[in-house]
Order: sequence, then C-alpha cells, then structure tokens
Amino acid sequence: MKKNILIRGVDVGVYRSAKAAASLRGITLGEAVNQALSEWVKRVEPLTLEREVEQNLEFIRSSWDDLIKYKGKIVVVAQQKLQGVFEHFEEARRVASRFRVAHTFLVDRKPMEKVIELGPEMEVR
Amino acid sequence: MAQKWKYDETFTPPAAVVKAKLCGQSVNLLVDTGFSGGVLIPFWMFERMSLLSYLTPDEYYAVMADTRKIRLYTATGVLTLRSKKHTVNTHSSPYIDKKIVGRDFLKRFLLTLNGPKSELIVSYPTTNHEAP
Repeated sequence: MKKNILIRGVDVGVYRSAKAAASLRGITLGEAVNQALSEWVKRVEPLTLEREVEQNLEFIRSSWDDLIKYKGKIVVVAQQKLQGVFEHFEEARRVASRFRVAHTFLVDRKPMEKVIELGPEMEVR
Repeated sequence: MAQKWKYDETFTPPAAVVKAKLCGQSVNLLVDTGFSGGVLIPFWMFERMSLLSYLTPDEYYAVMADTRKIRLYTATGVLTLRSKKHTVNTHSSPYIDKKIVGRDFLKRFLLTLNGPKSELIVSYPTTNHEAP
C-alpha cells in the first residue's frame, strides 16, 4: 500500500541531490525515499531494541537483591520494571506476551555473562 | 529409537540438517559442531516466534573466528523432534542470518553422520532435558 505524505523541513540541497540521483537511476523520488527509509529503519531498529534489552538487564542487575527474594518463582521484567511474579510459566507467558521485549525467567542464580563460539564459516552482516 | 534425515542437497557438498519444530514452527537446522550454543535462528524468525518476550537474564555474546564479539538475544524455546519436546537455548542476532543447531543441544543425543548414505541419524539415549 502506498501513501502520499508531506515532509516538512527537508534540506533543499539534500532534496535536489536525491532527486537528481533518483532520476539518473530511473526511479521516482518516492521510490528513492522508500529505499532510504527502509535502510534507515534496518540500521536504527536493532540499536533501539538493544537499548531496551540493556535497560531491562540493568534493572535486573541493580534489583537482584530484591528479585532473589522470589527464588523459585517466575518473574517478568519489561520496560525496566518488575511486571509480575508467578508460580507457573503459563501465567508469566501471558503477561510477558503483552510486551515486545521482556525478560521472563525462573529466579534462581545471579545472571551471568556467557560466551558462545561460532564456527569459522559464520558470516556476520 | 532413532530418527533419520537425508542430507540437504541444497548445500554443496550436501549437509546434515535436523528437521524439527521450534516453538511450533517448522525449521530446518544445519548441524554445526563449531557452534557451542543450542539453536541459532535468523532474527526475523526469532521475532515471529515472539521470543523477544521471553528473554533469559543471562547475557550471551558470540565470538567470531576473527575475535569480534556480538550480543545474542537468547530465549528458552521448545524444540520438538518426533513429538518429543526439548527445551533449548535459542539465540539470534540481527547480524547473523543462519539456522543452525549446536553442541549445547546436540550433546543430548547420539549422532551418526553416514557419509556414503548421505544420512544423519539421531538417537535418543535418555529422556533428559525434555520440556514439561
């Protein structure tokens, strides 16, 4: 689906060079904007996600002395908060599924950093 | 009780691949003994399985052969092999586009790579690690 949008504050120089570059490649400026925006999202999205994961982990690390009181129970941490304490994974999963990013785990030992080996032929983008 | 799969001929030379269900979705995982984790899947698949909502608090990093270190998102998934369910650490990264099964999962089984018959045989020695 396509949509017509008005974008305010576009730099005239950037607009002119983008229009010229699109024309040279035989594509419309709209197609060029689509390509540029999807590339930008691909680049930025993992960083946003990584920040959200890091914030949850920071909460878990800094609140560990409180979390360990729930040893043997399942907790859900999302949006840098303890969202709930549960007896069973099923209940915890129901709550966790409301969040795109959540840490859902059995409180047991202090979380650790672990290193995984990848084979020599593994390629990273 | 053993399960057999023909090598996947889309690889050159043909490669051992486990055909399983991960979180209810069919997935073909390349057997990779150089990978020390459980299962590694592409990030779009990890997201589609909603595994970002069930991350583990342990921080996993992958070390590449050239010593680069990248963060892996890790959740506990359920891998079904011939109706038997196994919990498995499922890793993913937006920067790695592979479907592989590694030593942390494979250590639970007896694996035979029958080269002349182009066949992978997985035997189940015990019922350890089965998901509830």
